[in-house]
Amino acid sequence: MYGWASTSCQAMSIGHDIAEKVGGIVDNCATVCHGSSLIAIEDVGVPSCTLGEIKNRADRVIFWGCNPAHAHPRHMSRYSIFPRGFFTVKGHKGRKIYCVDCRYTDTAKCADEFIQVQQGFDYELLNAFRTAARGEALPDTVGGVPKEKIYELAEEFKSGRFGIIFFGMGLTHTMGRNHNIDIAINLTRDMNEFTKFSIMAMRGHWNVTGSGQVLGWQYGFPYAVDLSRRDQARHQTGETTSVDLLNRNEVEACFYIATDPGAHFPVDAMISSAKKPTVTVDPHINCTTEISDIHIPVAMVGVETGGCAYRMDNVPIETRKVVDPPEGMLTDEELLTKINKRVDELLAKGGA
Amino acid sequence: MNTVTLTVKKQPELYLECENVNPDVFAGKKIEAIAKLGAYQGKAMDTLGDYFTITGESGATAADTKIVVNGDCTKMKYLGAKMTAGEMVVNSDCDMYTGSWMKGGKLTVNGNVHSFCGLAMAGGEFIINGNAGNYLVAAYRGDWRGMSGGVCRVKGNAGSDVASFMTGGTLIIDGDIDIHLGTHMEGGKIILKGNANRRVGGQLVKGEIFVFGKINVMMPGYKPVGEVELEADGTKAKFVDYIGDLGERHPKRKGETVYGHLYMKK
Amino acid sequence: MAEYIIRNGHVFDPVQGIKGDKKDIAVKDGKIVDKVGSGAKVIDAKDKTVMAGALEVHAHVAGPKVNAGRWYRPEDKHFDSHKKPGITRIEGGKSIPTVFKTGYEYARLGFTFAMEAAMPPLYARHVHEEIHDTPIIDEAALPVFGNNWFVMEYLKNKEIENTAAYIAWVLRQTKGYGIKSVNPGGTEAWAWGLNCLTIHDRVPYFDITPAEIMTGLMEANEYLGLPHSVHVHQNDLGNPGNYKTTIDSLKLAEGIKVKNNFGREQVLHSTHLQFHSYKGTNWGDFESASKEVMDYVNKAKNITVDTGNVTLDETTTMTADGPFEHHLHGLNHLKWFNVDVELETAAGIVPYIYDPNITVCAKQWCIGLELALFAKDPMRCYITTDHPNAGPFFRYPRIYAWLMNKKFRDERLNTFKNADKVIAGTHLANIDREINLYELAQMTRAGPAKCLGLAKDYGGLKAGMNADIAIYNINPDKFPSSGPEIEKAFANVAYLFKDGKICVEGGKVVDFGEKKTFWVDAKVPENKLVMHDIREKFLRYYSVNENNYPVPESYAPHQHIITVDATKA
Repeated sequence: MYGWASTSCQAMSIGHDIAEKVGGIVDNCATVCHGSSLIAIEDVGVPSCTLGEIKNRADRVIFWGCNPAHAHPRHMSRYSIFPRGFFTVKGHKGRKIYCVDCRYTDTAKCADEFIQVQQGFDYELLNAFRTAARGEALPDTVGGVPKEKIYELAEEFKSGRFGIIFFGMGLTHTMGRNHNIDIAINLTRDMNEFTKFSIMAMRGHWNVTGSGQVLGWQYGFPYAVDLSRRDQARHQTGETTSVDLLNRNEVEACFYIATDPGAHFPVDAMISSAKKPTVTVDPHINCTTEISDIHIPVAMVGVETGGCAYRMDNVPIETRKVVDPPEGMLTDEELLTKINKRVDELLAKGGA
Repeated sequence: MNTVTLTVKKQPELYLECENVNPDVFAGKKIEAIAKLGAYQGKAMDTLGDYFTITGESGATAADTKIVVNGDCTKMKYLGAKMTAGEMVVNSDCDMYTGSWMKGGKLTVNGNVHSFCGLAMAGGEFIINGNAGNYLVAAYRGDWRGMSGGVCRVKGNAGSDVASFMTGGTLIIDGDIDIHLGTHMEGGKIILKGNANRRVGGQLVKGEIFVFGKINVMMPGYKPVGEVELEADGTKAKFVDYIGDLGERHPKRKGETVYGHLYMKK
Repeated sequence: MAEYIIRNGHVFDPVQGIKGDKKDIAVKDGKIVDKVGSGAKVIDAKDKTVMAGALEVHAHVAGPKVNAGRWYRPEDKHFDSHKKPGITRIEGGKSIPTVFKTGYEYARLGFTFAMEAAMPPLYARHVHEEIHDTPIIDEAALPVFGNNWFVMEYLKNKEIENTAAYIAWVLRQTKGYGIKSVNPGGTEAWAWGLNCLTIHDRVPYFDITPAEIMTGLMEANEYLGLPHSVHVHQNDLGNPGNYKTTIDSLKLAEGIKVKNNFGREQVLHSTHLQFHSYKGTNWGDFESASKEVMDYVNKAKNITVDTGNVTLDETTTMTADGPFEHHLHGLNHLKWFNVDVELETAAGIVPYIYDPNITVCAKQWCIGLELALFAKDPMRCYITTDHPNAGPFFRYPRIYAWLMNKKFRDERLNTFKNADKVIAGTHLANIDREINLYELAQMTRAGPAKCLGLAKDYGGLKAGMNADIAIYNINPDKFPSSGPEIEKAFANVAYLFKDGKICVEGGKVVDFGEKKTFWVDAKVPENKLVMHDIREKFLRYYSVNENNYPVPESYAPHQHIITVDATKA
């Protein structure tokens, strides 16, 4: 059962109950998005904060491998560059903004300094920043950035009162994946020896964080949760993650909800999915519904029905109903409750 | 030493979780009992007897037990996992978790192994006469305790994320590796006879990595400090000694910082 | 609803002063009654111990940092299979159990209530979602105020009424239970990477001291007359020599007069005292200060404490004492999770292994036990592990065994790697006292209930009280003579009654009950200034709308609301 990133936590809870009863696997969109970040956090933890802290305190803001100008359009005005907060009354004039990317993006246009890193060299460059922060020797350039610049930036970061690194697909999807975030987290940690520093993932799907939370408190893992054994939940990225399960033909049926893997998964995985009984639950016709055996439209969460969602900094926000759904349209919660009841009936009759 | 021979007679539709196939579980059991041991396929519990023809007899203890597995095991996981003594030979490619959490004994795979093999190996010998996938002898997800003892030898190539969080033991790879060898290493020894793509010894705290071949891109946190003549896996050679990872913390001994070493063959 | 008669059990009820007499307990309609009809189902409690359901007064079981601890530690679930038959959902987590395991395991140990020790108000919705999913046990959560911008600004000007009005507002918005203060002032300092290690260190910018924060919060608490007192995690946790700060903090309670209608007598509850009872100047000369601390606590009648016992396991530390976690990470280099919460607080998480071979860990273990054994009034000293900080809560049976059997704890003490050093730096070897069942009932039932202001309905077996009852397979006349036997007996109840329903039988969960969320609704006089300040801060400094702050009713389908009227204060 994959997806969950665009539905409410209440719906997820019911879905998990179904998955447990049928012995399935629950996975969410982090598996193709910030799953790498989650792996890194599983390995090394993360010093982070809520978005209000950035608004009120940050004076060194680093965008690394992300482009909020396109992907999070309100981010810079609400939190990271322009707002005047309690300790940041000068707004963007009191902040120094850096953008590290392999190409000059629209976010870079808003930055005070743009650092162009050679594609695939983020890990090396972050290693160089850590080395520079410790005052150790560096080669002449790292990832296309001259060592003088690296030393200069390391000092500037240390000189701030509160630094924050925002990162996105530029780190999660380039060579090394989770290692890039791992070392960025380590750099943030190192910086805490000199000043206050935090790091935050720019999460993309509006409730993928929520799915991670609900899976977390119910089973102890943020995604890729294997519930096929009655006695324990299991998790191993690379084994219980959706793309791997599909590529290796380790599952026999697919249930997609609040997502569109047809548009985002590697094509081999979708070919594998197309060969199995596939159900999609989604308000829209999309790439996935094209290869599904059943498509059940539902009400849009956050528009036609409410529910709890978690922001990228894990703060829970209530989504609200604004308009009525089309006549007869069920919400995810109602649909899953019906499915759950039917599963109970089948199990009572002696289904596997 | 007594030998139990398993011959594959049926392939699983999905994958078979062979957590019960190791000398420790087989020891002291009659063949009939071994055939009844469970093996999960997805959520269903089948038995070893459903998939293997089993002959021979087990020893009284794991140390007295040898297991030979013949047939196609490409879709079998956890073969030889958690073994503490005895011997096991698999004459086939294997899937994930082969030899993981081994504490002793000798496991030989005459074929390739998939990913997550030899996880957190603590002792014994794990020989792979083929290629290995990713996360060979790494730590389990989230754990900071990786391979801590024993010897793992790969005749072919290995993938990425090899030997993460290693704290002890020896890993010898005759072929090449891709990226991320020895990340977060805190001890132990890695000997790479072939080439590495990139990111060798990233965030390494302590340990030794010997590279006989080439590394496409060196980590910036490694600094050459001289040349040494050393012996690695029976071969004597001249190496350039790089200390690092300079971006990472290091322990101190008698006031001196103890760095990790990356030895590149000259 | 079903009627039950629990026959022939040995009852231990400090509320009625019953010390093991054989007495029948009658249950009807969810309450304990004087008698029931002949149709009542008979529960044979012969040779068993009957107590009220236990109350966990401080544990981290629901909320954002607990959950972060769960999902950032997949290894905590590794090789952790639970073959518990019955209707239970999948359980998991050795040091940070999932919500299902939390509910089931507390119930199996005989607990019927747990207090989530620290709720960041901004994340209250998350805390309640987890409380909602935790089966069987009633729960409540304490919002944190010790580093809150509103509180610091009001208390700097000594505006107790405004502070109280704000606190009442937060309790209502977050469905919170009382006033928690963690590392007062220090966690706000941590937002700049700093800390407050003594109670007189000034908080950067807000220019107020932890002493002023604690005193002000205590005054506000009594102004409101809340069922619970201020619940404090003192400054300087975990550092050798911190006992002086601890006693300084406890002394702040001296001037405060208690005021409430719930039978509560304390004005300050000091939590996980073990971490705050350290003597010495560094980890080398680190020693137990349990005697100094308990000497003070024993004299100060208006203070209650809980122990924070170390269980000698691999566990996960998590606390709103952000700077401490950063410090701990510097010591053991294990993965560090941190989140600073705007305007309110912070949290940190670091895994920790209390290794019996390490002298410091062994001494910590001694200190926790000494605190309980030095306590003169068991109604004022409760047993906790600050779960999961000093150890997972399912080690309670082992802690009871150490406290009740000197031989068992001496065995552990004498087999430490550096036993002579451990014994030299602590008092445990010289303590002969063994806690008995009555005292245990005081320290785990009647005492916590009174401290939380719940004594009218919980923590006892008097007629009229709620039928939350635990029956253990312990025969007081043939009390188990070995530690492991004591541990086994407390690890799985014979029966657990929750609201008059049997939820656990023979250690097996048979019913999920209908758990309630407890919270306190305090009415205060209308305060336009505070409402204006709230509106202002949400507009200018918070990153969420004021509308997003309150926890909707749907998150707590069964509520137990305690109303307090402070309008005539």
